[in-house]
Amino acid sequence: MVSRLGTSSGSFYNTQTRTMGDGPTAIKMGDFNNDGITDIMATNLNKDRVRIRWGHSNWQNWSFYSTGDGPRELVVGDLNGDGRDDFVTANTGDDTITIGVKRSGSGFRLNTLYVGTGNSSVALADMNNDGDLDILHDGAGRLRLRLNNGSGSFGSPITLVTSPTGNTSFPSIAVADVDGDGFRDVVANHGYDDMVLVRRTAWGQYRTPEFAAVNPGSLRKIQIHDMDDDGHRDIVTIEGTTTINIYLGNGNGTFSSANVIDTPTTFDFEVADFNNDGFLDLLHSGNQTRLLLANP
Amino acid sequence: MKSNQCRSLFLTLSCMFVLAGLAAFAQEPREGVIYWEEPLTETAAGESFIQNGPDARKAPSCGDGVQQDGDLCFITSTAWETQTHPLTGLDVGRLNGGQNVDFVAC
Repeated sequence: MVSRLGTSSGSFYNTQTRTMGDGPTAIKMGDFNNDGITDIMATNLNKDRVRIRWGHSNWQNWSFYSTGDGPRELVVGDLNGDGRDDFVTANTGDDTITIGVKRSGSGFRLNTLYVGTGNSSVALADMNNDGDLDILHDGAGRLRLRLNNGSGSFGSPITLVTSPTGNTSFPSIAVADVDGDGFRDVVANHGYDDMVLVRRTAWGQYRTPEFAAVNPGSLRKIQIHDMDDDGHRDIVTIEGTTTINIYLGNGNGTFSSANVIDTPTTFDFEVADFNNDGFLDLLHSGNQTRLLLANP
Repeated sequence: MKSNQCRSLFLTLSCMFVLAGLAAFAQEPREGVIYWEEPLTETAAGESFIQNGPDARKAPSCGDGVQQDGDLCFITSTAWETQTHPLTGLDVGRLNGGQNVDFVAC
């Protein structure tokens, strides 16, 4: 892995390169021991583990924890409200997810659940506004929600979307209020050909999933941000390997057609304000890590 | 005998009130409960939440220095890391507790 510190002008310095284990496919920052110092966790796809590099040792010391077979996706958040970050991996080798809840001492309380053939993704969000992070994941051609009881234990899965084409997976899941009703909605890949939107109503119901086709075989990743600063959430995607698309939200659950940004080979992206000007910028990675600064 | 009949009538009425109350409570949406509005079906063609056509795409006025709602403009990207192998994972946050955004990639 490589890390860089940001400056207030949208540049980076202090490059550090460290090993992160065998087959790191996803990486996340978190504070797993609640010491106020950021730690770094990555999946080890080929070792069925996650590795943590601890911030208090300037990321020199590391530990690993077991997951299911082939952890490919990783999300981090405090699942039980104890101030320590926890993690969930999507394990594509044995169709499971692993939930790791940090103990007050050393180690994690690990729980691996079978979620169905072809699982590929996991996301955390408070879907029922009770203050606890819930888990969204795919598997067996379904996009499912597991509600958190507040202690990092989760209820039976609730199906939000059933793939109309069989066991098609939902490889990327994003959550935000896209229609302005105060409740979080879900936008996900449906395979690599479609996006699917599931809107939550004020009564806790979920509307009928809406599908939208993109260029066949191209859709890789979805996030939701207000990219044009108009107060409405927009959909940001990687489509193909050389295009980032931005679908501007209208605030009512509909979106513009794609605003296309051509990029070098890109496998992942993140959105943040890197130069502290109040506008969201795009950092994307592939063979290079490149920064696109907003230029209003 | 009459006393038993009265007791039975009282219990029956009580049960009815309790059941009526439970039914009324069940109809009120409660926080944290998932309610289904309608069966899951695929949206028909033409009902996409992504609008089609050129009119749906907002025309940006890049770099005019005036932020308007809907402006969507970026400066040409700058490379900050070049690797011999592709970086598939990326995250941003504050590694050193500072005000500026840092990144990690693998």
